Amino acid sequence: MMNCRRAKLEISLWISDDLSGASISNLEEHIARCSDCESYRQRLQESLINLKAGSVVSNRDLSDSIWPGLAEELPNYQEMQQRKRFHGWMLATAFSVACVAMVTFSTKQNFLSWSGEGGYDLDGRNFSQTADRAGGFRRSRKDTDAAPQMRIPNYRYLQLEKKRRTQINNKADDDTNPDSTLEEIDQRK
Amino acid sequence: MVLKTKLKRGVQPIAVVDTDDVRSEAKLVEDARQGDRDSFGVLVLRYEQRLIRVILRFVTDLELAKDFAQETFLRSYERLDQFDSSRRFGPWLFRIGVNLTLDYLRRRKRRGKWTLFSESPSDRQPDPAVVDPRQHQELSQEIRTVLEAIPEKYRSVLILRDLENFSTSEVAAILKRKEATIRWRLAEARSRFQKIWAKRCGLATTKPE
Repeated sequence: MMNCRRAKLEISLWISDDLSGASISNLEEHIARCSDCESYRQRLQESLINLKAGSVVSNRDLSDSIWPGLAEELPNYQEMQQRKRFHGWMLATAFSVACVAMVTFSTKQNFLSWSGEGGYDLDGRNFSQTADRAGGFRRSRKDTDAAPQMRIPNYRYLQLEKKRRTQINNKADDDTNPDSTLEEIDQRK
Repeated sequence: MVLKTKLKRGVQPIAVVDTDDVRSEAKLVEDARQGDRDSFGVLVLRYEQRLIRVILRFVTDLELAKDFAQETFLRSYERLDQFDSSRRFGPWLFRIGVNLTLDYLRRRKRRGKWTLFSESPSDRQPDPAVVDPRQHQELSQEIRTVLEAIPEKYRSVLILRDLENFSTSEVAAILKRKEATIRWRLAEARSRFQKIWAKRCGLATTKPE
């Protein structure tokens, strides 16, 4: 069952035979029953007749040929094609050379900076110096400006450290106390 | 004038072209590619009137339309190597011409000097073939005003299909769109034209759905 919206869309194509065969019979059935769509079809056809009648272009305006003027301006086709091909090759070659030069330059710079010899940055300074300065800068920043990091206590480490220090102190006491005898030291151990 | 070339017209032909040449389009294109200008001349003579008429639907000024037609032929000549000889020459040529014209109109519209269909009808001479030229001019002016009110994408389809009688497949090839898209736009264009036409003529419009 076709609705009027669909029918009106198809009527617009039907009036100039732009509608496929399958839809035509459905549309004709709909138009036979729907006076509104039939009226729309008539109005559409009338408006198209007016469109065509009001848009006639007189052929007498077109009688002068443009070919004579155009023929004077046409370049030699084969020369033009050769020129086009030459320009294409020129562009492709220039682009390839530029790519190769860029790759070569960047590879050389990377190699020199990796090996630590030669290699200059954009300001003309030696790469290794620049790297040193950058390292120095990073170090100084770490010392002074770095944000304080949260310290997470490692209790196992603290215990071991405490024990180690105690042992060292005891040993120091043993070594420095002249009253301690060798037997007392052995007993404490 | 925005065209790259403004060519001379009305001078004596420098090459005599056989207007009854029966060679196929593919053969003419092939010969033109080999450097035979006269073969291209045959193509020009075959298509120039229709091309100017199509362009004239968009710009109305005859001299401007002829300039666009010359530019179209010149561009097509420069791009003959891109033309697929298994296809028809006409749609390919009209595509270049219509795109050239629409680009020009878009640029003018962007510059705020949009005059599509808005040149005075008095610029054009009345056609003696019409019984009452004044009546015809009034109708033409009215049609132009209505067409102006339709968006470009619908108007182009309406002009090519209903005024120039290209088939929907040809219109699709010229505008480089799918045939289904062209059909839908054609239906929409006709519907819009009818509504605006009815409104301007004071006729009863369709009932609201």
